This record gives sequence, structure tokens and C-alpha cells, in this order.
Amino acid sequence: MPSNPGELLARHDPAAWTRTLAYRARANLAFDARAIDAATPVMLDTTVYLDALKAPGLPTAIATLVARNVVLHCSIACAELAVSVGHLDPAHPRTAGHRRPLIDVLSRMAPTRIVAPSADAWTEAAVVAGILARTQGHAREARRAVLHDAMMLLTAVEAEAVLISRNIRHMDLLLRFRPDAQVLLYDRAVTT
Amino acid sequence: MVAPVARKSASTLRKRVRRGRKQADGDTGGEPLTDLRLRFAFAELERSGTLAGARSLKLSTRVDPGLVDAARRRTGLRSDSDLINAALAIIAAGDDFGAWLVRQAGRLPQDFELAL
Repeated sequence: MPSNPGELLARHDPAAWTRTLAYRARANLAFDARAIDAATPVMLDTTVYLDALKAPGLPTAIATLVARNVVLHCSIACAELAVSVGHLDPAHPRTAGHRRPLIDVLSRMAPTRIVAPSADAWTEAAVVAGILARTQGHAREARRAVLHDAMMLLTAVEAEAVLISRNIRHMDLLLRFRPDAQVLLYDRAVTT
Repeated sequence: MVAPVARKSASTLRKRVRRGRKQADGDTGGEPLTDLRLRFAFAELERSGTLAGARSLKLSTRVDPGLVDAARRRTGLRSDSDLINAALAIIAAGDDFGAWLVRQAGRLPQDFELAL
């Protein structure tokens, strides 16, 4: 059990969240990679791994940051990548080519740089995801995605890292619950 | 203390990592992910020109036997030299994950989606 579930519930009182949250303007969200200094570790949302593996790769500012700063990996992102390794059909001709880069990413992660959410983070993320499922009317499939994103965000908070993510809408909502979290958002790089 | 010993290249050690795993007894074979990490480490050290290409330095040291046993289980390596070289390679290669990741563009197709 979490160390203090009562405190977590008090922090995010479900009764205080009754209306659908509107998405904020981009100007109110963090998109400036230059604001992150070299000494701050970054944690990568699953979108970052996938965008890096697809052409044309990450936007230049994000790639510069990822190449320069200490990179932490959230166990949730590892799990999302690993699910596909298991899910790809072994008999499909494209499977080997799709599985290889995912395995390379997972196997290149230094074990000491992989961070798992604490029991408190799991509980807090679940409360927040539950509230958002209600206020935003999320379909059942979307609830798990929000829960995963919430866990990644809280893991980054615990690790005192900046979470880099392209999941702009989910992070916009989640930051209402944890405005102290450090998040850097980005858009997909433009293919030329 | 420095003494010439048999010359073994990094590629030889990589082969021995694989062979050592196969030779390990019962269920104590090396872990595939550890094997991959070693291969990546040696590939990076070769690419960066870090390796001299020969095991020419002899080291004499004392180590915790529990540490050695645990490392053998993970790697499947039985030779002390192979084991020490593997451990040093992991340390020397460091963590270049970010720099490596940003060079991987194009390895997945645009239409690839996660299973979740």
C-alpha cells in the first residue's frame, strides 16, 4: 500500500473535479527545449523512442537535448515498447525488421538509468487517471493510456527529471494535477 | 605489473561470450540482454578506437566471489579474463544512449504503431 493514501486522495479530491477540462493554448505549455539546462536529466515518453526510430527522427532541438543530457528511462515506457516485441506476429515477413530496433532500444538502456514509479506514484496516477476518465469522458481504451502517461509524469517528478513528450493533450491535462512537474513538449518533426 | 599475454581481439571475446553462454551448465546460461549489452559495448569501443586489439596488460587483483558468481550467471562466461574484460567494457563504453538514439531515424516505418 502507498505510504499515505489519505494524503494522496486529499491532494486530488475527486469531488473538486466536476467539469470537463478545456485544453490550453500552446503559449501556456512548455515547448522550449532551450529552457532545459545540460545538468537536468531527461526522461523519455514512449513517443520519443518511436519518433527517434522513424524518419525523419526527432526535431533538432529535442535530438540535441536527448544527445546531450543524462537520459532516464521510465519502466512504463519500457513496458509499452516491450509489449510490441511480444505482440508482433512471428510469422509476418516484416516482424523481424520491426522487432529489431525495439529490442536494440531496450537492450541499450543502462539498467541503472531505468526508473520505476513508486507505490505512491501508482496510486496517485490511478486517482488522476480516474478523475480524467470521468471529466473528459475517456473511452475505456483511452483510460489505460492516460494512466500510463500519468505514471510516467509522476516517475519523472520523483526522479527530478524533465519528461519529454509529444503527447500534448494528455500532458496538458495531467499538469493541472501536478503543476510542479517538469515537462517539455514537442511536435513531430516535419518530413522534407 | 605488465606482461604480454595471448593476443585476443574484441571480436574473439564476443564469440566467447556467445560460446560461453552455450557452454554454461543447466539453467545458468548467460542472459540474452546482457549478451546484447556486451556486444554493443564492444562495438562502441571498437568504433571509438578505444581498444588496443590485444590483451597485453596483466592485472592481478582481489574480487568479491559473490560478485564474480553473479557476473558469471549473467554472462555465461567462465574464463576470468573474459569476465574481467566484459566488465571493463561495460564501464568503459559508458551510457551513450541518447547520442545513439538520435542516430536511429528510419529504422521503423511511419505506419508502425505500438500494440498498446
